[in-house]
Formats: sequence, C-alpha cells, structure tokens
Amino acid sequence: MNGRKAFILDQNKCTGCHACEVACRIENDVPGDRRWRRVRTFNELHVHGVEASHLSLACNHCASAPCIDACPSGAIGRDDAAGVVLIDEKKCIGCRYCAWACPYGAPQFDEDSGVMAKCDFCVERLRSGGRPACVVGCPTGALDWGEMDDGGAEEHLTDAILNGAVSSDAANNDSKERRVPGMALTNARPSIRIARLEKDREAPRQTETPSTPPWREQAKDLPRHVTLAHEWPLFVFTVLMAVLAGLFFGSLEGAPAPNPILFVGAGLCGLLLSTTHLGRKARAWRAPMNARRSWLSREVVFSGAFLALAGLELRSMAGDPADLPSGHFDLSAWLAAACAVAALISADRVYNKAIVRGGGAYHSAELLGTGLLLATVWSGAAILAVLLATIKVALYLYRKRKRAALGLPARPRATAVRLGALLAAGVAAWLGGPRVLVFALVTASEIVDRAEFYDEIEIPTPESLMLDEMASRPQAVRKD
Amino acid sequence: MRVTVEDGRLVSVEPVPAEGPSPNLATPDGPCLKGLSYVERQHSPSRLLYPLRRSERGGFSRISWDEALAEIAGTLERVREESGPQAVFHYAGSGTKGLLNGAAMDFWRMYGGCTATYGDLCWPAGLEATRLTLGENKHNAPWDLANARLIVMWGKNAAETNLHQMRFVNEAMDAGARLIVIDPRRTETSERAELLIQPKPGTDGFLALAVARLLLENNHIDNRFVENHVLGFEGFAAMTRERSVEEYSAACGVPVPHIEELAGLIGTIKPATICAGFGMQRYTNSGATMRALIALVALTGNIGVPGGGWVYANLLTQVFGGDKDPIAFFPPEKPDGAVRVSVSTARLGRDMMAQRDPPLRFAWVERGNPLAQNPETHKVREAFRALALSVVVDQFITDTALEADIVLPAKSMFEQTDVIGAYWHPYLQLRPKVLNPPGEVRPETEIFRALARMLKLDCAALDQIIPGPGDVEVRAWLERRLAPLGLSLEDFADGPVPAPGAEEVVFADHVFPTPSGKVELLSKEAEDRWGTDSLPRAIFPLESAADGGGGFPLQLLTPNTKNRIHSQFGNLDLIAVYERGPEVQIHPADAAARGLKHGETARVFNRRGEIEVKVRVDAGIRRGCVSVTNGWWGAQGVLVNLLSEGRETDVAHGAAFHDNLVEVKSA
Repeated sequence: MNGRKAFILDQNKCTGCHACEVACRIENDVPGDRRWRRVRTFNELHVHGVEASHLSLACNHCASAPCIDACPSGAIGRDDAAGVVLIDEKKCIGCRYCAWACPYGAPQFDEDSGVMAKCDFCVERLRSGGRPACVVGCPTGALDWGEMDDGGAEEHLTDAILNGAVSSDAANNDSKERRVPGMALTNARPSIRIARLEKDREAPRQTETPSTPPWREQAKDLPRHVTLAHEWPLFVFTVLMAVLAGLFFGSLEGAPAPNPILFVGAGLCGLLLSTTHLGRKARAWRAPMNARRSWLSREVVFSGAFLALAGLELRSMAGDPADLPSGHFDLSAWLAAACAVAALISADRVYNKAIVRGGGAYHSAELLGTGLLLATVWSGAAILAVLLATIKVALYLYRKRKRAALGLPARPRATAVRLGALLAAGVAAWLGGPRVLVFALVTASEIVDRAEFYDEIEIPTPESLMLDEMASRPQAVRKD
Repeated sequence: MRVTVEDGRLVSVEPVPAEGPSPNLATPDGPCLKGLSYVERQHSPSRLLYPLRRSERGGFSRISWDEALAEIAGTLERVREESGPQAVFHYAGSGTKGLLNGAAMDFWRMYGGCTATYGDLCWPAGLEATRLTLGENKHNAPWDLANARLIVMWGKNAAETNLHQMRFVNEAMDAGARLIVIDPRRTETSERAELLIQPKPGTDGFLALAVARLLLENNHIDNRFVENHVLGFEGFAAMTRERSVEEYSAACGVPVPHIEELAGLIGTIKPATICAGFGMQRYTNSGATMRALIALVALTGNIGVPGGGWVYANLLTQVFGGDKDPIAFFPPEKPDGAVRVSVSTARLGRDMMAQRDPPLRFAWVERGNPLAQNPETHKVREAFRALALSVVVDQFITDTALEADIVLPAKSMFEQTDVIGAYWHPYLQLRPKVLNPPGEVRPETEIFRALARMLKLDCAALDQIIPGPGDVEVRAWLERRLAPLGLSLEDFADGPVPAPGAEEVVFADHVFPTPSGKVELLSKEAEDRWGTDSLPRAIFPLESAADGGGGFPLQLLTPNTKNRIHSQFGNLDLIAVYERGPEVQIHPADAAARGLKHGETARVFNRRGEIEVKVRVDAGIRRGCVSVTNGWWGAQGVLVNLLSEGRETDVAHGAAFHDNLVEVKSA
C-alpha cells in the first residue's frame, strides 16, 4: 500500500478548465503566481492540423527526483511511508536550484517566506481517507491518482513510458511519435501516468484553410528560471572564482603571487555576495549539507576549501619564497589546486540542467576553461594561452552564428567587446605590456562571455518543451 | 454541489456524488472553476457589505439602511404621486433563479405597479423556435447523451459553457460515437471532433437547409416518423429545393464536400443528437435558423429515442406555475394595468428613454448588470443618468452599480434558503441558508418588507406573499410552494430531486403540445405571432458581412468564456489569473491584411462605438470573423456592448448581439 503516489491524467478528457488548479489553490492557500499545479496548453494559437492538448502537472514525486539531488541544503526528501517527495521548509534556504532541476515546473518560490514550496500530494487529506484536492476538483474525470509499485511492477506504466516520461525510449521513433507535448524526457522516473490523446481526438479537419499563427511569439511569455538580472551575484561569484583560480595556478608556476589577505578576502566577499540571492540568507550555512548529491553543495565546499588552502599556500609563498625547494612536491599547493579545479567543475555542473540553444556541448564561458585560460595568461604561458583562447573564440563564434540562424538575439556589441578585449590583450602581450593589463583584458573578455551565458541559458520547462514540440511539427513551420 | 462551512466561512465546494440517497447523475465529477471559486466570492474583500450613496463630488460613501430606505421610499412616494407608479422601472436578471426572485414583482404590484421589461438577453429565440416546432422546451436527460452515436455540437462550445456535458460526450465517444462541431471558431469542444465545420456567422440556417436537401435527395428521411408526426413536410421539402447545394454552400461559406459529409452522417447514423448553443440564436434571423436545425432531427426521426434529439434547453424544472419560458418573456396579451411591460430588454437604453406617459424617473436593478451586458452600453448609461434616482442591488460594484445613486448590498446564495431549478439537468434543489449575511447585508425580501413598511403598504397582505425574516418563515413559505407538487423540503435533505414529471427520454410518447399535435416544420404561429415565414426559410442576418459590411467587414462574435458567467466571477483572484485581459481574436490573414501584430493594442470599432483591446492572432477562427469574450467590466478595460446594436431577434424578443460588424485597426 506504500507505493509511490502518482497522478493519472487523461488528456482525452481534459478540457483545460483550470478547476484542478483552483481546487489546489483553495486547498493550499496558494496565490495565482505560484501555482502548485499548472495546466499548460499546447497549440493555443491553433496551428492547423496540430492538436491542442492540455498538460495538467503538479509535482510528479519522481522515483529519481532531480530536485532531491539538486537541493544543496538537504531540504527535499522522499517520504517513503507516504510515497511522496516533500520539501522541509525549515531547512530550505530559498536558492531555487530545485526549480532549475525540475523539468515539470513543480517547485515554486514563495516570496513571502523566502522558501520553496510545492505539491505535497495532499498527504493530510490522504491520511484521513480523502483524495487530493485537484482530483476531487476535476469536473471531467480527467485527473485521478493511484500508487506505483517500485518492486518491478511498473507494467501499468507503459503509457507513461511511451508518452516520453522515461528516457529509455527516447531514441525510439514510436515513442517520439507518442510523446506528450510539454513532458520532458528525463531519467527522473516521474510518478505520473498520462493517457495521451487518442488518434481520433487529435486536431479536427476543418473548413478554414491552413495558415500559420505567430506561435513563436509565445516564447516571449515563457517563464525564465535564470536571468542575469536575478542571478548577478552568482555571475560575480563564479567569475571571481575563475579569476582567483587563474591567479593561483599562475603563481604556482612562478608568476607573481597575489596578496593572501586580499585573495582570501575577495573570495569570501564573493561567497557572501552569492548568498544574497537566497530567499533565506541566514540559512546560507546549510548550503554544503548535501555535498553527497548536489553540485551546488560541492561548489560551496570546494570553493571554501580552495580559498582556505590557497590562502595558506599564498601566505607561505609570501613569507619566504626562497624556502621553496625547486621541484619539491608541495602537497598543500596541489590540494589547493585540485580544490580549485573541483570548485570550477562543480560550478559548471550546477548549470547542467540548462541548455544554450545553438551552443553545442561545451559553452565558451564555462568556468573551468576560463580558469585555465587565465592561469596561462598569468603564468605567461603564451602558446597555451593562444591555444585556449583560439578554442574559446571558435566555440563562441560557432554559437553566435548558430543562434543568429535560429533567430535569437545576436548582440553584436557584446561580440565586439568580447573579441576586441581579447585582441587587445594579445597585442599588449606581444608588445610586452604589463602582465596585469593583459590579464585584465582577458578577464574583461571572459566577463562579457559569462554575462552572455547567463542571458543565453534556458532551463527547459513544460512551456518551452511545448514550443520545441511545435517547432518539430511540419504544419507549424509551413510557409503560407 | 455541496459546501463545507467552518467557523462562519465557506471552506470548500465539492460535488454531490452519483451514488447515495439523492444521486446526482448530471454533475457528479464536481463543479467548474466558477463553482469552486464561491469560496472566494462569498468572502471577497470587495464584496458590498453596506448601503452606499453617490456623493456630490462623485464616488460613493457609506450610509445607513435607514437613510437609504428613507430616500428610496421618499422618492417612490413622490414619483407615484407626481407621475404614477409606472414611472418606476424594475430591471432584473436571473440571479440564482430561486423561487424568492419573485418577491420584487410582488412588491411592485403592492406599490401600485411599475414598468418592466419584456424579452431576454439569453436564449429566447431558440426557446421559441423549439416551442413553435416541438411544442415544449425539454430534452433527454443529460446522461442520455452517452447513448448517442452521432453528436453534432452546433454552435455550442460545451467544454467552456456546459462543461459537464463533456463527460457524456466522452462516454459516447468511448463507445464509438462520432463528434462533429459546427462553429466559426475552433473551440475546446472542437478539439475532440473529427470535423469542424466553420460557417459564416449567422448563416447556420443555410447550412441546415442544405443538409435537409441532401437528406431528401439521399432518401435519408424517416418516412414513418415524418408521415405520422410532422406537419408541413411537403412544403418544407419544396422549400429546401429553392436553392442548390452549391448556392447554400456559397451562402454559408462551407464547402460542398463538408456539407455532404455532414448530411451523410446525420442521414445514416442513429441515434443522433444535435446540441445547439445560444450564440447563433442571437441574430436577427435566429428563429428561422433554429427551426431549420430542429427540422433535421425531425426528418431523421431522432426524436423520442434514447441518444437522439434536440438538446437546447431543458425547462422540466419550471414546475412552479405561471407561464413557462419563453412565453414568460413576452409582453402580456392582456396588460393588467398595473405593470407596464413596455421596455425591450434588447433595446434597454433606447426604450427606457422612449417611455412616455409617464416617462421613467426611478429605476430598481437587481440580479443584473445591464450596463455591461445589454446591447448599446452608451444608450443604457444615458438612460440611467437621465433618472431622478436609480437603485442597484448587488454583491459587487458592477458597471451598473457605478451608475447608481444608491447601491444596496445583496445577499449571496448561501445566505437565504431557496429552491432552485436548472436549464440543463432535471433536478430541483434546496439551497439552504448556511451562512449569516455579512456586514449589514439583507436579503431582498427584507429590503422589500422594510420599504413596504415605510410606504405604509398593506403589510398583512405583504406577509402572505413575501416571507418574513427568519429561516423558519422562509422554509414555511417554500413548503407552501412545494406542496402542490407533492414535494416537501424534507425530500431535499440528501440532495437534488428530479422535478415532478421529469423524463429520461422526452417525446417518447410522440405527443407534441403544438397546435397540430405534431412537429411543426410549418408553423402558422410563427407567422401570426412574429410575422416571419411559416417555414424556416433561410435569410441573412440584418447586419451581415455578406453584403460587404459597408466599411465594417468583420463579424464580431462575443462568446462566453469558461472563466465567467457573463460579467460575473471575472473579478475574483482565483479566476483572474486565467485571463490575459481583454483581447480580440483575429485570423492571421485578417491581421496581416491590417498590419496587426500579435500582442499589440488595437481599436475594434463601428458606427456605434469603439473599444481598445490586445490583438490575439489566432488561426482558430474563421477569416472575416473576430471575437471578444463578453462580460469584461469597464474597470477591466472593456465594455464590449459599446459595439452592439439594440436590436431584437426575429422571434421572442431576444437580443441580436451578433448582428455586429466591426473593423479593427492598430491603436
């Protein structure tokens, strides 16, 4: 009886009436701007020959819930007895990272309390023998609930698997055809069963002749989880960590070592700044609590370790550089460097749920690359620096061209600054200009790219997946 | 529905289930979002709790009931003395359709009379077409639709306006039924259909006659039913041959293959049900249109059978005496001298101002928001502003309340016991008082009793017709109304009760209460009473894009949305998030021809008025039509009836809202 709780949605019966949402909002006293359940409509502008369907989603209480892995503070967990995934609002630090991780749009940030909240499957109602409020509120019988057995008895989930809720069938053409618009292909194993529209209930043949409505315009209204305007403290912090890593690596290779107090002070300021985007800043100390699973926790842990170890190392360098025996294996220095690499990798992995359209597998503003480039610049390894810079520029230009082709903003001025600063750095280095100037110019160039990265990344949502699905339909891209 | 009250608050609304002592077979899955939102509506901070008086400087200020009633009573006395009681105008919408709604007219009769409206905004042309053809407005039980093998949703978007019907549509489809939708718009209902036929608005009669012609040609007529139970078949058949299918096709804008397909389905699949919506009977040719539609079910013998028939209105719950709709909407044939029924609901503003001997000086509005919902908003506003005093009884500050001199707070449906009927399902229901009125809210019965005392009317007589203040008195009053039907309030203890005489399958006995006792395709009454053709000969609406539109080439539809009941519910937070704001839906080709961009603000205008709304470029509408949902408030940016003409439908004094041509231009 203690299987995973699962919602069951029949798209053939759902008319998109929003009663489930209203029932949920009444039950949980949730305002309209942070709905625990949300009905998304595919093909709202009625592209001829494409079905209009509704996807009513709350939390899918996934078996491999990405929100649990993402949460740095360990606030999200599975209640095995109840068969649901719950957020402990006393532990939540309000970093919103769970919302990035969830492709179903379940976790909602509560501005008033500063923490995340989401569907709890009405566990209290269930305990007293009731049904979830949304299920009771559905006036067409489209929404129901049930339990899933984890003990290998997921036979009855065939529909959900076919419908694209599970990634194993992603490559299968048949499953693509039967995919539910808006449903992400993940390995989260969501506890939901969706009966997709039957073939005979898809778009009607109609009198009016085909024409193409401006469905792409809807992209403007897509919810965005990550924006530079909101995420700027993280932007500053991540760039700063790459700069500090570059300086540290460089100084290990004999370049001038930065002042340890300034170095650690700057890093701590960055860390402090990064906490300002939290809903509950006073709980920032919880951020490393889930290092076993969360890349965000790991970023915090490794960044802290790097700052501490690098600070000690820089102090010992500053104390008596002559003491350093040449060729001596310095364990603490290598440990600090390893932490720096781990911190940068972790910081990059934090964004692993994000996509950059036209960006390929590796983004030119990823932090590990930036850290290494800056290290080569600071250490004066010219050939390596040119090599790395060339790779980055190639990735950058490739992406820019691709994005322009996709009709996405090109931002030529940013490109000019990005490339201009790099070129100036090269010229300055070639003319034998001061190392600090070259380093600053490269850093400026990297900052531009990083800022663009924050502007470009998208966290897939049911809404964006619906537009992607539409773009894949021949009827929708037909020219009139 | 069943509500839960905790500590004086409505906390939840849930369905009465299909199982139990009083089964609810019509809506067992639960109320729609509007029904659920009573939780907010009941306790809304914007609800009116005190009488308000317009102040000299504009705006409203709170006054006491004594002040409000003294001014109203004083004005009523003066008006009656100087101009006679008919200078008082009574306007009412339907409210929750309770039996106590009648209290107002009982009061005005005691006062000496008043002026009242005839006609109705909602559905009279369709009711009259049905009454003329079948004799009575009733249809098979809602759940019987699951037995249909062909469902034609003709001008009806059940998924938004009759959500619970979709359950039975689904059940029928699961059992193999076919669904065809006829609508200029691609609606939520049409999404599940195999074919969406999109006629030019207001030309459904042409389409129906084309189908009829093909049924005749293909010999898809139920000859036995026609011979025994249909009047005027020969004349009707001859009439359908006056135009070729191609000519009908040109008139209604539906290609011949779609007409043939529709005729093939209607002719060969049994049982078939046509579910008709209200929108297409809001034209100046509605009576003819709707009669032509009903003819199709008669010709194919889809009457009196499970899963077959004409589903338009079910008035089986109108069991409390008096004239049934639509007769109740007509001016009385013999005026009683006290109540002057002389203002057409469709031409409200114009007719109010046209009253002479005496002209109107005082208006009483309850259960309605005519400024937003009746045609010609500017004229309605002008008419109200010309009065010496206007009183609006409402729960919220509606656009009409904004024009009032005195606004009185109205009770909600949870604050006074009443018995209600329905117009789709066959259940009577007890709506018990479960909450005390908040603030100083008084039920209308108490307002009228207080006014009667101040006007020194015969209170003993009044007590006979309007119940006293307590729930006990209201229940006793209701018992007296139920007793003749063999019912008592106890019968309602567990939930809904089928109205006496309710049938699962109507007209199974083939008894049609028409003058001939048959289904009348030929109706002499249509000619005598309305001066229309005795046969449902197709004609174009008066204001139609068919003749080019005279500079206003776009036909404006003002349909309902699932988010409101006309102008109600849109003010609630629970609902408002589901609206993007007022917008005009326009076809991509029509938008391109006008250089209109998705999301920009545009003017929708004609000679009568203009509104500004956002443009929604949407391929889900026929070219040449645009659509703005009705029921927005002025405060929300749009009064859509600034564009409509005060014009009656060809029969039954309905409002021809959709005879409405406009142009759209970038603002």
